[in-house]
Amino acid sequence: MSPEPGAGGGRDRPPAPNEGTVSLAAQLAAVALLIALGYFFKSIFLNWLVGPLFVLFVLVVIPRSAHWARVRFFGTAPR
Amino acid sequence: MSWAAHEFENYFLQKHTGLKVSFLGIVLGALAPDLFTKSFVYAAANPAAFHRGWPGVGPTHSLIFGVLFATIVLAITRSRSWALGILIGQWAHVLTDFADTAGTMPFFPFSTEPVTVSMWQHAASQGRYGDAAAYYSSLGGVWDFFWFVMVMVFAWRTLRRSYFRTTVVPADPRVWGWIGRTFRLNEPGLLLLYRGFLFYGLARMSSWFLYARLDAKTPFQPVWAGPDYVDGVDLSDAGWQEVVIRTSIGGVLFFGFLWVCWRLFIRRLWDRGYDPPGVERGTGFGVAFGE
Repeated sequence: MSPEPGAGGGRDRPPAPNEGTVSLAAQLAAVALLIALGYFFKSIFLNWLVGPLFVLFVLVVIPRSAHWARVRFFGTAPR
Repeated sequence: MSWAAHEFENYFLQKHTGLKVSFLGIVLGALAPDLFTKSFVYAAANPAAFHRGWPGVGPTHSLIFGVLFATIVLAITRSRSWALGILIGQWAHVLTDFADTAGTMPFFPFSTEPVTVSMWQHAASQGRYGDAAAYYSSLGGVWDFFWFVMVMVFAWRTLRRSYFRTTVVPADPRVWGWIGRTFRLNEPGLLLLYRGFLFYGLARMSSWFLYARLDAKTPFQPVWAGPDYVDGVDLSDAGWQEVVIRTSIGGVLFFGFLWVCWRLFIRRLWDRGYDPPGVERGTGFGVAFGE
């Protein structure tokens, strides 16, 4: 028998709060960049697909990927 | 049609639903009417009739579409929070789109009469860029800005990290947890994802407004039924009395149909559904709103 959904099982485990924040200034800068890109390019890709994820990509996913790539290929220690 | 208002409203709704409804469900519900149809609208011979009328994809902008979508999600996932989120988000989209000249058919298929208050022109006939320029030259752009202000004044707490941690995630721990584990996002990353639709709406509103002013150079006419350089759209030749009568009959039939569906099968699906830990639902509107 499967466990009762919503009863606090493993699948309901909320994400663990980790350290680290993204500053408000960085978030506002990312929005300004999105406005500029939106003004000049207006692509469906940028607008519909990446738009809601843009801040996450610019401030988390891309920097983290670049960091991993640097460690993997160049052996640079994290700052 | 509304543009960024569909993003901003989600946070306002979140404030009033708290722990009882999934924010991601609200977002999906609010996106649903345009998600699979908007790209085809601009290619249609009569974009407004195709977008909001019948025959066409107008039924996506009816209340019954939200009921159908939410019921399917409830049947598959058993999540009451997601079903309610989709229903509330989609209904908010339908009610918001009343405001342009094409209107919506809220009680389709019991009434195919479009309901509208004609605040601004439905300008899809101008193409995507022209539509954006017309929208941000009319009261539509003001409408977007109004909802942004509403969020920043009355629902700003929903943007805080502590609110995200204590309300948004506990309302939908399974999906937020899955996103976090699958995409290896910690809390700051998930918080950016949560805030992403606000940023997206703000950027969308700003860049299209700048495009309208600086590039397209369309006249800014924030007056009722503006802008006047766009040909008027009227999907019905009925007078207002006829619209009221037909819509009233459609509304009675729609809610009667909803009651029958509830008794026949939706209640059974609801009863076998589950809530996130700690959520206590009230009765009536208290099922989805209030703490």
